[in-house]
Amino acid sequence: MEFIWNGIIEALKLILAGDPQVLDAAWRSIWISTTAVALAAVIGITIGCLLARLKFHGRTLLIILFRAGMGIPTVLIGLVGYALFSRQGPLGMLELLYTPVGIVLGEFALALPIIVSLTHAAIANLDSRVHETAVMLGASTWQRLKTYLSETQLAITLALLTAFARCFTELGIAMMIGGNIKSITRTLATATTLETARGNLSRAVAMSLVLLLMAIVMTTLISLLSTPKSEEKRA
Amino acid sequence: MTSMIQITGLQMICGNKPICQVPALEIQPNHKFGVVGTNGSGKTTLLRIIAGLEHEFKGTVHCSLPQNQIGFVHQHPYLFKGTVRDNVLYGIRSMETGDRNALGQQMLESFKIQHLTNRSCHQLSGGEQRRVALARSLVRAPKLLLLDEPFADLDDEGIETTCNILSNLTETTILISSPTTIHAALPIDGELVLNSIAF
Repeated sequence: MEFIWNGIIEALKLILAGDPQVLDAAWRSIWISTTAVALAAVIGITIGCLLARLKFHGRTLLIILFRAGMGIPTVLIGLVGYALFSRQGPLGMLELLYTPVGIVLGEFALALPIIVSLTHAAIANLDSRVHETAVMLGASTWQRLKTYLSETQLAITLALLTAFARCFTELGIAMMIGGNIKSITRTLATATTLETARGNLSRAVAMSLVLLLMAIVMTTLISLLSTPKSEEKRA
Repeated sequence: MTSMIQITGLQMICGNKPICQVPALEIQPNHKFGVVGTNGSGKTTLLRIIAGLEHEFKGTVHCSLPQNQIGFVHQHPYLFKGTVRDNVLYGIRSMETGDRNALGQQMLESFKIQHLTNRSCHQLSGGEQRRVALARSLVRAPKLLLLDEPFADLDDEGIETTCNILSNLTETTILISSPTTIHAALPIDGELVLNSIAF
């Protein structure tokens, strides 16, 4: 146990001293995950709304596929991304392998099914009076869409936070598509793996503590948003 | 005079059970009409069919108005997230801001709920919510107004205020569903009595 405590103490020293390697990996993890979730939000919320409100051939299959995609292993996305972006792959000419943009695209694929599925579930389960009232008040398609999003604001915020938490802590995509290159594609998760393999436990624990801190912040936000004041008052 | 609503041989079935049956009905423009019946007699279903919210029925239902000229207020109205003002102005967003605000304010004053203008809809009582829903529908000046049990949740003052407003709508056809006759509260031109459907 002693070496773990020593590791934690050393880790806190590194964090408080602003260790450049820890900060570099943390900052990269944040901007990569944020960009991936932002892209997935724009496309995923739109697809989720369409799946919830439009009836078309193949809709049920799409819903099932997106739901299945929520549990897809990150190493599988990493492997597919590697195959696509490697020189012999169909997207090799884009030269995205071992780049932060490659990781963003991989994490986009991770976040998209989560956002689509949770948005679809939120809008599909809306009270039918929301749609009927909007229609009877002459709302255009665009205004109805805004109304659905407004009425499911909480659920969609939770979907985005869930997707961010998954992207921020994932390892498989960053490792396989990013390659864990120092100062270029190294994220908190890949750095933790590397430092542990090197036997540099204090730095590995420092990276893990930052990851843990972010996970706690996300979980707290999700918990706080899950019990809004208006719901408590109505209960 | 051409009828605004013409119904012939209407029957709506849910599963194997009829939930609404109206052999024949004609309603003239600008008339106020009551639809009376016990629970389960099909009052709500009839209003929903006329509003164009139900499509799976037998018989013919002709309404001379497009859906955007019809106002419909649910038996349990749904108010969108936001303030009373946001809700009342929801259906008139295409108007100029000044005119829209003035019209909204006028409607809130008519229903004596101007003091609730900036109140969140989640903080309203059942009666207040119903008044807001009525104001939100009426502010669009619909040619046909379908009200599903509009007096539920309202106190005596609320019923009187609502009836006064409805009485003054001489250019609007109004259908009001109610479990009991509404003659006493509001002068009407006719009444359809729906019997409880036995099955």
